[in-house]
Amino acid sequence: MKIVIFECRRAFREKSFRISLLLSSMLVLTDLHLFWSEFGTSPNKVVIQAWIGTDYMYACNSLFYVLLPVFACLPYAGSYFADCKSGYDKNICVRVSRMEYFWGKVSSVFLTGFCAVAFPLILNLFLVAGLFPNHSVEKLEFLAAAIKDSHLFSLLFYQKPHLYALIFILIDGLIGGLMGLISLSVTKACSTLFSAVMIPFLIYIVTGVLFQSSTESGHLSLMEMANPMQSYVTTAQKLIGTYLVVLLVTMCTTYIQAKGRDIL
Amino acid sequence: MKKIIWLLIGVVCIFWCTRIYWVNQEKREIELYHMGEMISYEPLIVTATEACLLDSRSFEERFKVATDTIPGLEADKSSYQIIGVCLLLENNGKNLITWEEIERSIGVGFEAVVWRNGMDPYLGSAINQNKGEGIGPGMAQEIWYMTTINRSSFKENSWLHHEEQTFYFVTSLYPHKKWIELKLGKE
Repeated sequence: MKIVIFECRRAFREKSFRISLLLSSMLVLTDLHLFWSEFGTSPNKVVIQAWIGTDYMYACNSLFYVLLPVFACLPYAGSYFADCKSGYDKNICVRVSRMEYFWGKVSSVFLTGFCAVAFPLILNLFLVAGLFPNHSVEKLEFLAAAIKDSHLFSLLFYQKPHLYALIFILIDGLIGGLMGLISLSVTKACSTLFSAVMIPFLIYIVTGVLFQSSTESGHLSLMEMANPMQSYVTTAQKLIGTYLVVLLVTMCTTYIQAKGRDIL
Repeated sequence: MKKIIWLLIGVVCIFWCTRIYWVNQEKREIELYHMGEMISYEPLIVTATEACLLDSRSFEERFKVATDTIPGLEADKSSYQIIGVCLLLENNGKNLITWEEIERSIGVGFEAVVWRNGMDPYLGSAINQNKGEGIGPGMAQEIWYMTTINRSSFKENSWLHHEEQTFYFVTSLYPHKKWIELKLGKE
């Protein structure tokens, strides 16, 4: 347990965590600024139209969800690679077991990935909530995300939009954490810190594009599932299933690598 | 120094939470009507007299129009249904109200809890028999406003029970929303 707290403290104090938060916050504030410049004094605009997750009018939504793995991995995902390269892990493993170090690393990478993605979304929601009322969107204005009954949480979107936003913030945070874990699992195959941080981004984009499908049965794109705009219809089972499969593969890979590594 | 910064952040957050509370105190002005109630767009008075939800075959039998001849409708007739409302338009004024003026004033579309669709002009023009350039002073005319409900908008379970939903016809959105709760069947 102590090593988990130690690693988490180390992770949240990293400069790269603050840089990631700064970059993502700048993006969400840009979106807010653009929306406010155009619709600030316009009546009938509501929170769920202005929040970056469901604001389709500007490129910021697409940019945020494309760069999600970068925001998630930048803080601490490369730390395992750095520790192995510098020999820092040997210092740790003198005091704790290999597997305790492994769990400490997994927890801290997951948590920083989660926070790096969730924080800017929550910040944007908080700011938008003070500028626009949290009423249901006017459907026939056709100025909101086209959420239909076949989409996830459609009833929440129209009746309790703030809950819809919060649920997707949770989903996006979990996906951010998963991106960090993917970075851990590919660390052994990487020769540079940059590749350890960027490979999850590459996997995310390539699979995101390859697995897009307009038919419900074919759609497995995690990139599209993360986006509250829901351009493609998915089901809760598919989202949970995809997440669990990727989580299982990354955890097994990382565990086997950690167990097999002769640190001392 | 850090304590001062955290204190400032705390004060700003409390201020912003207060602002969030006040922003949400303003209620949206919406007028809800029911079938048979008169809606005033002086000098035009609008009353919903009938609403229906029909599959393709029932629509053809009722209105004597082949759906194959209406542009924009899906070839697969089981993939959609048609919802419509009959509005009685009365001119209480002294001048003619043209059809363009009527189109500009009323008729936005239909909605339910998680569904909405604008009016389909092709369906309307297929079954409405407009007389002249508009509605003369003291005259009245019934007009059908219609649109399609597509199966692809619903989950399988929802589509089986979508008729149990409450549907609304939105006559106008500005300056505030006016909408009619539809009761399927004749008034």
